[in-house]
Amino acid sequence: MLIARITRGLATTVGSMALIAIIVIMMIPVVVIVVMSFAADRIVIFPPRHWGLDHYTSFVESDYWVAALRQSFEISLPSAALALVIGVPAVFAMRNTRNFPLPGLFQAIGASPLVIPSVAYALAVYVFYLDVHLTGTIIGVILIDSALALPFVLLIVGSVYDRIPRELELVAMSLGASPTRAVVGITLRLMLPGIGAAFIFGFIAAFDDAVFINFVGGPTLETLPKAIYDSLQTSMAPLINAVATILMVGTGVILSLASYWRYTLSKRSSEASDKLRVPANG
Amino acid sequence: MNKAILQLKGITKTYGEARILRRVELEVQEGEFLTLLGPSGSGKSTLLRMVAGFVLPDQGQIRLDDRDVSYVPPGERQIGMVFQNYALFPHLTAAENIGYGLKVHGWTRDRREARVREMLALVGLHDLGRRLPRQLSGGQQQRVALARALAFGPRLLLMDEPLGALDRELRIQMAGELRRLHRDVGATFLYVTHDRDEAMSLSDRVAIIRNGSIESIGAPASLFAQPPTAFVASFFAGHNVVPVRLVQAHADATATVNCEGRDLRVATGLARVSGEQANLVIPRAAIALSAKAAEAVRIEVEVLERLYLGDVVEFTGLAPGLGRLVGNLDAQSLGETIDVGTKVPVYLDPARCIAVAFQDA
Repeated sequence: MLIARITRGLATTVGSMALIAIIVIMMIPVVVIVVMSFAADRIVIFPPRHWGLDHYTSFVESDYWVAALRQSFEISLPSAALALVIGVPAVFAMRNTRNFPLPGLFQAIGASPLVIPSVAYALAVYVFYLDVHLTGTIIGVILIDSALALPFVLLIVGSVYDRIPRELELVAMSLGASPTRAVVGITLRLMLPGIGAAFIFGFIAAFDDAVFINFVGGPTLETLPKAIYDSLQTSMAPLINAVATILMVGTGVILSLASYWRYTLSKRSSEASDKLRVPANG
Repeated sequence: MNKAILQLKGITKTYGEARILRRVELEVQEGEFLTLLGPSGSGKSTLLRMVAGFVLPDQGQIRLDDRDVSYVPPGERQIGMVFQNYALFPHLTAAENIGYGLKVHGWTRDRREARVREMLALVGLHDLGRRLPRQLSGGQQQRVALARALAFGPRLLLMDEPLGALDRELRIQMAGELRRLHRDVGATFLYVTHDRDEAMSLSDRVAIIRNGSIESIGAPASLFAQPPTAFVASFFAGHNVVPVRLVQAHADATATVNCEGRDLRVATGLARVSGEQANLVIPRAAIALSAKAAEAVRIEVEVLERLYLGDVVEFTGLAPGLGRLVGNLDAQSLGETIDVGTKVPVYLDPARCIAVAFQDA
């Protein structure tokens, strides 16, 4: 009995220590980068002797980097939007079609961009784009980025849709609403926060992509991730520490907001669903 | 003579292999409270949804006010509906929920607000209009659902097991509210449930539905006292039903049946009895501790179960040849307690038993 307790206590302690060690190891590079972004030394030394916002101002004043940031937005926003345009109706179709053919297959296809190894996928897309002359075009990048965003849309919008009781549309119709008004005014309206969250997750997925933009984007399309990668090849401008910090902080804040949004939404609709206890089928 | 506000003629519905509804015929009188009572899977909810307009019949006709509405969309049938789980719009307040149908029909804001106030008062929720559904209790949500369905003054209100999600106390209270509403509003109420107590206490008439067709329809009192079929006797009235051999049916609404070698003279129900076999309905009231009538038959039962219920003791016994019998014995006159396993003599009054056509269970 005592042996068991000691072993258990030991295991917990060792486990916690291992966990802390892993987190620390993962966080060290992040911390270093953030710290270095505020350095103002002439040479790269750690820890920095002088502090300042020099790198941040260089970033904001640099045409190159600002253009890269703008290019990222120009690609990621339409990609996320396109993923919504495809994904939201897809969710409706998959849930409302009786005898939907091979639902498992469609779910697998929808999730595949997250599962297929990126480089293999990107190479295949590149070869395909050569045939259809889409390499180096912004349309081409948007198309593949929307495929990256799509799994998030299907997942998030799908789960939000499933939480909305089907009877709500029926009630609206029984009160005189046309089917369109019922679906748009009630169901879609209740799905909006989920759709918003899906858009954000999809946007981040497209924004963060560093693989496909390199394979398919051609020489002229410089997104922010690509610019960072290129800068690593050519020089080690300490500016990129600032860029990286901004990216991490920005992404972190947006994702936290989106997750919090989803959490409050799902809490509200599950409270509503708790009240809608369905009795035994009759 | 009330006219029929709703007529269902020859309604049939099949899903794949399963026949959900088989040539259902039903007439609902204007202003009445009619309950569709049936076990799970009997087709009662499907029938209700057909009346509402969410399901189309494969065959047959639905006539509302003598107008064929079989294929008319739900919104154009002027029918109110309350669902099993209230289905309140979670993003709208109680007042907005109630006013939804009015808004859709283009009522002006003033008219809407006046009507919503009226409906809130009618269901007893005066100050709760501003609350969201998640801020209301189950009983309150149900009242909002009722108010919403009645807001634009439909002549027919459909209810699909609305009390199912409430606990016992609340259910009894809400049942009373429903009866009051029915009296006050004057609309026709069509109610679906599997709970026979609800059906008995709420309705003017009960239609008992089994396996997709209506087995019997009548006032609760007459269905209870004179069940026309064995199923109605056991499912609706909770009577005992045992198979017996029919000796002879007589002209004066009685029959002689033979059971365990004994000939008993019993009443016959609404249905005609003929053939070799019959079912004998033995109401609980026909079983007593003493011989109340001269023709009372003494039987020895082995006590299987007894349940103390305050006023009565519900006892289940095994009678030779008859099988399990359930009876209610007056708790006060039950001198000594009956123990499980003992043999107790009870008396059966044949005059209160009813022979009905034989039905396989």
